[in-house]
Amino acid sequence: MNDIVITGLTKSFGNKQVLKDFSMTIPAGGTTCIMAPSGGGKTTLMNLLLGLISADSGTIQGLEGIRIAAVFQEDRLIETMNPVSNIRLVHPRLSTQTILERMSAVGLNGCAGQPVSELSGGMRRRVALLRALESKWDFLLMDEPFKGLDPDTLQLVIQETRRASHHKTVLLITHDLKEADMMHANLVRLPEIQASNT
Amino acid sequence: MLKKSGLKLWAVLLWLIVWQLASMAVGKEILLVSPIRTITRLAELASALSFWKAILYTLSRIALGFTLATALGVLLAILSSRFSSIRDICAPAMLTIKTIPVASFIIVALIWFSSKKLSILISFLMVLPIIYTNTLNGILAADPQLIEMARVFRIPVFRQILYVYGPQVLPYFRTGCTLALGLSWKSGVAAEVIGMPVGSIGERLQQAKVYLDTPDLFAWTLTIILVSLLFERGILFLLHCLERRLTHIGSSECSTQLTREAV
Repeated sequence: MNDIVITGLTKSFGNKQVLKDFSMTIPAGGTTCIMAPSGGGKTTLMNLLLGLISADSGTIQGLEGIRIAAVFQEDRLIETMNPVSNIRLVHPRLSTQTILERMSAVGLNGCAGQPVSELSGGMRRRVALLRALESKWDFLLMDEPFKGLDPDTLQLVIQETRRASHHKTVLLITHDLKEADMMHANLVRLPEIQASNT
Repeated sequence: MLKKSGLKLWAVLLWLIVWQLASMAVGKEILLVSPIRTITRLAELASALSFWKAILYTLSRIALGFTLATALGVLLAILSSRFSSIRDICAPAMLTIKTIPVASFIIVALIWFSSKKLSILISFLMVLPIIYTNTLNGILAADPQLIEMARVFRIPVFRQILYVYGPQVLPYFRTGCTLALGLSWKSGVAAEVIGMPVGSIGERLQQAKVYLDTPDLFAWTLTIILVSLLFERGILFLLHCLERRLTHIGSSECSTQLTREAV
């Protein structure tokens, strides 16, 4: 796939301007990390890239015909289903064996048959992450995907994420510089990405 | 059945005793028949083939009306949730159906159709707005974040309906069914009483009224209650099975796999 080129993106919600004339390039085949404080327009940018909302002006090039996956800020799991079913929902042909192996790789053992509503926050986060990683994608967007994970689990999860995203285009949104380092991401900070925020 | 309805056996027995004492106090069967006489008469009626034919006649028509209304109600609710113009078109029609007295529908329907089809049409009309409104409310209340997730992951529409919308809409749909089931029987039998299609429960009720045959009237009323309860329980059981199936996709499959691995 090609680089994703964002040019002059502007988005307001009512009187509040969230993005103004924002431009950046997300290089193909690598991991880019955007760091910004809360309310800095990161999630708006993600929603624009996902096509869930429309920009007031500006363009995004390079998304045509590519498969996108996402780890949302919220887990967005089907509460009554177990982890295997949640992952299989986006990739019906994935075998139970493969899913169990991936779950084990991120430390999710012994919970395959439990509804996700009964899992802890960290476990649910890993299910949401695996759902995205195991779907078929060319471009992965992750909004604070590692929140709530202890250091040991974080290590496992980042290892699995890097394995699954090798030579693929990833956009990581996080507050944590350490996570960006561990993902070997190209860092883009708020002042570089946003002209102004009123 | 008593347990599921939240009824206590002792309370039911208490009311039966009150009924029995009241009928003994009145002392005239034509005014108030006793529960024992009602059950005896019901047993007598049940020994005749015509009794079962009347039940089948009415049950099949009300069930058909209910099924058609449910199918159309769900379809219209899906379309209305997708296209606001269809919702705008449906709104006055549903409101009109809900507010017009059922007796008016029955009389107009008798002018237009044969009395044989009357209970199908009336139960259809009574059920349609309830199923439509409840299903539409369920779809509109579905979690928008899950819908966005389904869109981003390109989950096919059929799987979205089954596994994303299904578990969220089913509780609304079930409530609608519970309300509509009782109403379909009340309105369906009322239509038969007025239209008197030959061989129906309504016709038998009307005959009992004409001949002041109170034991028959009570026995047929008890029959309607029992059949409608069984019908309601059957439909709700099917819905319960469907709900379990939709909310536990792959669970059994996964358990089987895990068991196999353990072995």
